[in-house]
Amino acid sequence: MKKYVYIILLILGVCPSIILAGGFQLNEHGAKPMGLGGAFTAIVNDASAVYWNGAGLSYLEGTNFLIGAAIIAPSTSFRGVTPAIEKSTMKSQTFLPPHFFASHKISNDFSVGLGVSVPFGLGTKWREDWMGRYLAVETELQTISFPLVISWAILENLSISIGGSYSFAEVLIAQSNSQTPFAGDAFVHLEGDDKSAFGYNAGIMWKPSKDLSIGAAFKSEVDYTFEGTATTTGAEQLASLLPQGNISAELTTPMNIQGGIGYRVIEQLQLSADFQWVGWSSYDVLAVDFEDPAYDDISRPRDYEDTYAIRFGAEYFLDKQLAFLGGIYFDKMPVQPEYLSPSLPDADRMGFSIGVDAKIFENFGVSGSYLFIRSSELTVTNSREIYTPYEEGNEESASKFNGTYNSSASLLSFSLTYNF
Amino acid sequence: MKKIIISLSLLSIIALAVIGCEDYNDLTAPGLNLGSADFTRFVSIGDSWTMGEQSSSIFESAQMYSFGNLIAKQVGTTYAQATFSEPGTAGRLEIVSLNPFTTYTNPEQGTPTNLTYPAPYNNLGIKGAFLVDVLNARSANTCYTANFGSPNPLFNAVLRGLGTQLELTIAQQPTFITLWIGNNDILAFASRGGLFPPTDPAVFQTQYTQVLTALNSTGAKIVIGSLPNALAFPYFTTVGPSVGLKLQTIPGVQGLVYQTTGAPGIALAVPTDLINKTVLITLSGSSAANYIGDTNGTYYTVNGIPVPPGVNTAFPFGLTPENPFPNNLVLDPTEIAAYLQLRTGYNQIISGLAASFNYSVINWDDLFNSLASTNGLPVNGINFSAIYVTGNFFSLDGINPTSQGYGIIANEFIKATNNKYSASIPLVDVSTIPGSLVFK
Repeated sequence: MKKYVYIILLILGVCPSIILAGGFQLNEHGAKPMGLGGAFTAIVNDASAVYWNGAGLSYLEGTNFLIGAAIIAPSTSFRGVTPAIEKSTMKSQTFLPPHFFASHKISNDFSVGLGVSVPFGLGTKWREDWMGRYLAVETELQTISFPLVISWAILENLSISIGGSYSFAEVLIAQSNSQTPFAGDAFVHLEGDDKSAFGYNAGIMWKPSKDLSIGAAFKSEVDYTFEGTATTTGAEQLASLLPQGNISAELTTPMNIQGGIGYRVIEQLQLSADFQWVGWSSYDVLAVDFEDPAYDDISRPRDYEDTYAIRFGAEYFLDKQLAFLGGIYFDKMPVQPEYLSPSLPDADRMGFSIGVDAKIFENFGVSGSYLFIRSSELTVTNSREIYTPYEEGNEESASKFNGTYNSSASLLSFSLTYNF
Repeated sequence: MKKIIISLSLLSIIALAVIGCEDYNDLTAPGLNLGSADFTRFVSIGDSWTMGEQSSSIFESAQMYSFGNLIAKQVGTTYAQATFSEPGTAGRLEIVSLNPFTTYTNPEQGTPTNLTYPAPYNNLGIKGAFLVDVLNARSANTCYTANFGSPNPLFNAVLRGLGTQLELTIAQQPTFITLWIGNNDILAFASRGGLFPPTDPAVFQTQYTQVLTALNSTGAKIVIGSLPNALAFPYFTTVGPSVGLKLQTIPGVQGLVYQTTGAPGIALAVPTDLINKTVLITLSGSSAANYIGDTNGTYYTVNGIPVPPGVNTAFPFGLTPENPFPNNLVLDPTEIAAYLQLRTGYNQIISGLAASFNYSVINWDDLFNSLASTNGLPVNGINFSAIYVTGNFFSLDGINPTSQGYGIIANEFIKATNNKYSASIPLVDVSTIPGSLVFK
């Protein structure tokens, strides 16, 4: 008993940590990688290699399954608008992105894998009467991706993979619109989906020695074109002015390149580190086009920048059955504070994770991990987001959404593995 | 298995501990510098502009944005008002449709919602109050307009039988006062087409002196509002130009034939007089303007107005001496000149007295000239102008401001206070105030 406490404290003290990347990328694809802070590219040893690094499939024998889900509970508050310090809290929501992966070794040289996961998603909900209601009330984005990967063991200790993915996505944006000078607000509801988007991926894994492994993985951008409808409710006298009808919008989710290294320091301890580069500059503007030319298209600059995350993980093998996981990471925010919108609060984030990975039977395992993400407090002083009604040409003098954001999130993930 | 259970429990305990870490720096609100001003007991004396009237009615969602209440919020003091539930004190104007633009007078009436407030209200503005009322009026029946057959029940609602506006101000031992009275002493004359007698300047001087002397004895800081030029308000500038443009399109029509007070009793306004606003038609005349040229007396029958003696409704309405456009709806050049002269005189009286007591006076001309200018006045990203409805500043009655308009008024009082008393009270962000023109 004493020994366990000691070990856990050690892991916490040294480097426990984990994931939820900047922007709206989700990195929770398996309880074990989450417990290792997402530092998994070089050491992936289960079917989640389909997501993390397809080349890892070559090192798995037989047929492998991994199924699980994460429970994500984010929380965000905004205090402002400067100079006021009134606090608004985002409505609490819980998200349950599932993950499922399967792999099979076809021959000594080739392995294949497929899966389902949620690579990008977000959901924010604010009160309908809150001060930022003209910027965001409800925002939701969900992508579901079905990757298919083939891995080739070039040498016994070197493998490469390529793959493709089919994705679909849904988006919802709801916010109030001022009817100034008339009383009351109109409420705009935009909804759309894209039923087919494609991406590709590649990976490489090399194990130069028994204790050392090196891996890298690439995931392409995915272009989504959303088609949907706008509905607006407001005063009937303004009906002809309220946006309605068919809309379309485009979104490109970013390219990811992640490279990592894993090293078995001693028999019981494996350390891993990853560097993840995310090509967020693909997201430069939130644009919604109305089919009916009578309505002004929506175009809000976001100007995301390419960003990165640095991840460290540690796995301590207590015995053949049980391993403890710990991780820590730093994730740089992709958005400049001036473009930050309450529809997607963001900040530099630190993740701290712990977990366990247990083999219940020879071919059946369970892992669970907890990740706490703390966003650094972010005070925006130069916002370009205008949160009150204004007329074109008056952007400079219009009222900007300056204030202080605080975010954190708790994530719990469980996965089951089965192989034969 | 036991090991697994133990480690999972430990995991949950640590998880809970980490969740508890959610904290952040406390922010502190910026300090408020009131200089030598003290808003501990803040009282406003005035008329509909002080009371917070909008679209011909007093209702809670508009009173929230009375300029006094906006100032009170900026300085963080209490400010009790005689509030009325929606749609307020009968007769609220509401928009039926925008194109064509039509309004509706809501016949419903709200009820007082703050009747039992245990002290005099901080907002002692009373719609329809004249200068003399501050000194004398204690009830509907003792107010100035009662002498003209119009007892004003709002005096009962605001004063509640406790005293006059002046007495209730002094009773509160005020530390800060806004005084903005006298508008109705000339506005009543203008809004009724010159048919209501304006207050005599000598009387105005006496009464204003009395008011200010009494208030001065309280030791309160006072900011005074002068009298804006109401002829630039949409109540006077909206109907005439559109009638002028319409008349230009009717062949053989010289202009609007209207009734006058003095001899010869009839005058002609050519279309350019109306377009250039040298002859004004009030917003009350918008109904009559719809019947120009009518030969059935429809204006009189529709509005239930008896046909005046000597008028023959068989002649085209407003186009012939036999059936002229009614006098009470028109402000002719003589009346305009009279109004402007009176206003200048009153304002001289106000600023003279204020100077002798060392109080700050707000001169509204810059603000209303900006609103009347072609480009209007942008404030916090919103363009304001003196144009009816689309100008954002004026409510549907064409005289009283919108909620946002009151925000601009409040800021003028704040600026005057900041200047005079070395304070730095933050201005109201007008764009955070909701739109207030009500749809039916």
